[in-house]
Amino acid sequence: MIYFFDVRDGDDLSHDDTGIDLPDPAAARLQATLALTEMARDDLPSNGDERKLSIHVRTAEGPQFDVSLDYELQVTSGQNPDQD
Amino acid sequence: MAQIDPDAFNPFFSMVSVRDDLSDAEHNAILAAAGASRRFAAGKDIVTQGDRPGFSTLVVKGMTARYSTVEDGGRQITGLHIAGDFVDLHSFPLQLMDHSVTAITPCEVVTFPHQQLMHITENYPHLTRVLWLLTLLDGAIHRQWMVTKGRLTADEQMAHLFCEQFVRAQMAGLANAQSYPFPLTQAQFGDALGLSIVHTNRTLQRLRRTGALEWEDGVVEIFDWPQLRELGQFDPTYLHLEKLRR
Repeated sequence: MIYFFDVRDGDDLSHDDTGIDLPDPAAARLQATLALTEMARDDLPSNGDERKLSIHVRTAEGPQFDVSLDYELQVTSGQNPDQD
Repeated sequence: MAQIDPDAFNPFFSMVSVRDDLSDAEHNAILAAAGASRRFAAGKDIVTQGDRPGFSTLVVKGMTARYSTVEDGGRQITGLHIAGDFVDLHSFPLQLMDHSVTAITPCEVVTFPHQQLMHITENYPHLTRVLWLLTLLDGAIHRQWMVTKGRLTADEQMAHLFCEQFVRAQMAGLANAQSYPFPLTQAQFGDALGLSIVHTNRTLQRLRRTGALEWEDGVVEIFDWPQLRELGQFDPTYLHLEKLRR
């Protein structure tokens, strides 16, 4: 089964028109979840105080599931640790 | 000795000549040490973890990958080899293979019986140091992969790998001015980067959008080398591209 992974990073949506051939939904879930953690590692350190990363997974039969991660910096000391 | 086209060794001698000069006697000693020519279909293991191969394998055509697997079936590619590379020169002193080597494309290889390599080490001290150098280069590349995997973003790591493979293909005489063969599937590329296929694809799309390169039908074409180098923080020092008496 070909699974498509549309990635949304804040306002930036990248539509997947290639897809990946995977044996079952569990493999698709693993791919989507790993991809989220990898995106988080790459994008969160340099991209602001609030971020939502999500992946919409679909097949030719239609939408299958979504996975998402929310990141938020909450300042509790009155001093923003953001160096930018 | 089996009939092996002497031209098959050109990538090897080309890659060595970047780092040192071999005498005619040393050149001939390499040819004389060659055993059999073998072909492998794409996806076949050339050497398997746990083997005691009794010979080392030189790629003369195609691309191979060193890899290890983990319990859940995940696979990490730890090295890519092109024509001119030994995939397991270390199996001569180590004997027991602690990783496997697979054919990425249909491959042609030449085996070098360890007995013949023993003969070289006992009769050609300088050539022995050159062979040692080749395993040290493997180690240097492994170290660099650890750095790019551990400390760079996926975009940077990917750009770095494209740079490395371009320089290595040039050294072996396999690249054109701006392009080189890079015949991996998306899954193999992800296994080499240690990334999911989804993030690999997305990162590749982003890299393409910079205009620095294109990768289509197994060929990478570089449009902007300085930009690609900068994106990958690529410094070729670890490839030791200087000619010295080793």
